[in-house]
This record gives sequence, C-alpha cells and structure tokens, in this order.
Amino acid sequence: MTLKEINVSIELFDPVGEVEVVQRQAVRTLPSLKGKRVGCIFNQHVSALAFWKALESEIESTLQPSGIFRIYKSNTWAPAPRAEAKRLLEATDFALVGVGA
Amino acid sequence: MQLSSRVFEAADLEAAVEFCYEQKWTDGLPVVPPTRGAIERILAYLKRDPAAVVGVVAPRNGVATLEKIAINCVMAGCKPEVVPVVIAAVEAMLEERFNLNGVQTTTHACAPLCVVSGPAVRTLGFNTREGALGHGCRAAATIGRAVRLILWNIGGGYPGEPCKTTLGHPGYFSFCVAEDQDANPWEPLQVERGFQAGDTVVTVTATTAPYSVATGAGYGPAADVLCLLADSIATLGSNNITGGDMVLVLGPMAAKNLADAGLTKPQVKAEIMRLATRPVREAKRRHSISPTHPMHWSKVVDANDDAARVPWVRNPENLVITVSGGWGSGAGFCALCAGWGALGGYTVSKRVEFP
Repeated sequence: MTLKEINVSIELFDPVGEVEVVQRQAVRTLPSLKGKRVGCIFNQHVSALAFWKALESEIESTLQPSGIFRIYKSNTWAPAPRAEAKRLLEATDFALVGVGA
Repeated sequence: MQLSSRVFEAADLEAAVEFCYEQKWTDGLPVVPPTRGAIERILAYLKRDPAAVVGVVAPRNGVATLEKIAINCVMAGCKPEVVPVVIAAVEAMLEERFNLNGVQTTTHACAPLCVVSGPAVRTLGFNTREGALGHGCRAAATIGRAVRLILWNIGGGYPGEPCKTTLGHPGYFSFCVAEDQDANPWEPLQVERGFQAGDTVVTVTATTAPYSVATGAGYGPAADVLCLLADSIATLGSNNITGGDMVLVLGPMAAKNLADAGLTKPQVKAEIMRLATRPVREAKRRHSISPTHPMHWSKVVDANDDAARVPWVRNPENLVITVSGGWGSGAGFCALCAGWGALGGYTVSKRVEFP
C-alpha cells in the first residue's frame, strides 16, 4: 500500500460520555435544626476521628436532636451501602455526611 | 447508521491527532482519530443499538452507551472483534463490589487489570508467551487501552481532579493479560470463577503494577517456589495487609513446578495463604490505617502477641491465580499484582458475549 496525500477533512466523533441526569426532589428547607432527627454518615478516616467525635458532641449539645441515626462505614473508601443509606434517609430530617479522604 | 455524538472536523491526520489532545480526549498517548467509518464498523459487528446503555461510569457519572464505547475503542486501536471483551470489562468494573468510584479517585495506585481466559484467547490472537503482561500484542494492548480511555472520557478519571493517585503506574495506560490454557496445569480461570470451559471471560481486579518474582522454579522445589511467592505478597507497604484481592500471574515454569509436585490450585492457594504472613511486631510498623478502623489487621490477630502472624491473604478467593508468559530461564519468573486491599477493586468476572 502506498500513502498519498488526499484533500479531504477528517470527521471526529466526541468520545466523552454524557453525564447522567438524575431527577431529584426539590431540597426541603428546615426552619431550624434544633430538636430534629439527625443522621451521621462517617467514613472513619484516621485523619477525622477526633474532629468527628467533637462535631457529633457539638451537634448533640447545641441542637439537642430528638434522635441520631449513625452509619459508620466499615469501608472508608466506598459509598455507604444503598440499603443503609435508604434507612437513614427515612429515619432522619437532615444528615451530616463524612469528612476525610 | 445514526450516531448521536458531536462531530468535529480536522484538516488532516496530524491535525486530527492534535485535536484529540486539545480536547483532552487522551491521557498522553496519541490516539487513533475516531472517524465514522471505524466507529460504524464496530457497531455493525456488535449488531446492537448504539444508544444501548452499558452503565454509568464513576466518578463523572458519564453514560457508557455502545456508541461511546465504540468511539473509545476506535481511539484505542481495537479491532471490532475484541470490543465485546471491552464491554464485558466495563460491566465488571460497574459492579458495586469493584467500587469504581474509589478506584478512580484513590491516592493508592491501582488500575483495573483485565485477565482474559477462554477460547477467544486464541481466536483473538492474544500473546500468552514472552511478554504476555507487557508489550507486543495488539489484542491485549488495545483492550487495556480502551478500558483506560473509557475510564478517562466517560468516567472522567483525570489526574489531580478527581483522580488522586499519588503516583499511578504504567498500567494506567493499558493493563491486560490473557491466560495460557495450554500451559495452565489446572482448570481454566473462567471455570474456577463459575463459568463454563467454553466461555470466554474477562476477570477484572484493580491492582498495582506487576512485581516480578524470580521463584527459581527451574532449580528448586515447590516449597521454595511457594515461599518466594508468599514473600512477594506479604510486604509491609502492600495494602493487602487489610485483606482484599490480588492477582498472581504464574509463569508456565512455576506453574509446572507446583503441579508436578502434586499441588492443585486450591492447595497452592492454601499454602500461599499459610506462608504470606508477617509477625505482629513487624505489622505494627504500618500506620496508614488507624487501629480502630474495621479494616485494621488487628481485627484478625491479637495485636498484643508480637509473635502472632498477620495474614495477607484472608480467603482463597482473594488470590486470583492465572498462568501466562514465556517459559523463560530457570528463574521461573512470575508477577504479583497486589490489590487496593479491602478498600475496593475486588475481582469481578463477566462472560464475554460475542455477537
């Protein structure tokens, strides 16, 4: 086969995938966090252990939640299991979502 | 054929390659310009709707349609016949237990390693001899490359943001190997993983770069070969101190040595599990996970007993063993691909569905 110059342009198709669009309910605004049921999803990363403990303590003393639902993930580096996250959503008014790597 | 992707125009081949760089469609290596003809050849081979969705690829949550997969396969240099392997690999990575979001964003250095086993290893022209895990084979190179480009262009795994891997490794460009059933003295990997011998299966694990192990299989007894393999696994810097999966590619000489000694694959795994340990007093020098963390090694041994042994391989399923490579010298080289640990990148196998 011999290569020869051709005077036609090249069409290129975009390889970038469209981002999935997920329909979400409008954010519910709470007039106050005081006395509400709070969910805590903590990833247990070593860098955040002391901070998270202090944060939860502060939440309890300041907001006096009517209930606390905790998910302390056994795998810091993976999302919380869907079933557990669903239970938390159903059982709480608002949630604190973890910190750390 | 109806394609829905945006179309761009470049003046010539050189401009097309440069355009791909400008658009950030590649991770540093040049790519084959994704032209209509090449994309349509793949889609015509697949005989499926280009809009069909294989899944959503983290962390960018890009939708992997067959059209987008085909485009990335063209860029990787894939022949249409290998694209079903790529599709199966994508399906595997999207399983929850693989934790692709974590694999794509971790500070660790784990990349999806695709192990292909079954009849198509021969028909697709994989090299399972010298250099099986490296250079020299279009099938393996382009399948691994396509997987990376899909993680890049659909999953958005760009270094820095959001991919935080501290160093990465060369397998981030392409990482694929095929099992040599002719040299494998045991049942095929796909059978071990629950499929039929006649199935072609891709088994994906997120691993570090291969670590070469000179087992001395040409000169020494199986007990020493096992000792050296276990020693390569139980290193203090390995994330497998937390458990999790790893892939051990046995060269044919090492596999023959072990099989000739009467060892079955389950027995090989059991011996490596027994040997791949370190004493507690040494494991204590590893600090990257808090002792309070559920994955810390002290959850499986008594941390107060300095002589107790910490196991690196928690279960036989954690150790994926395949056979590939050249006969080599008496050194009996093998390759250990350590995993991300219990954090994710767990092994998932998928049958390749050819049209």
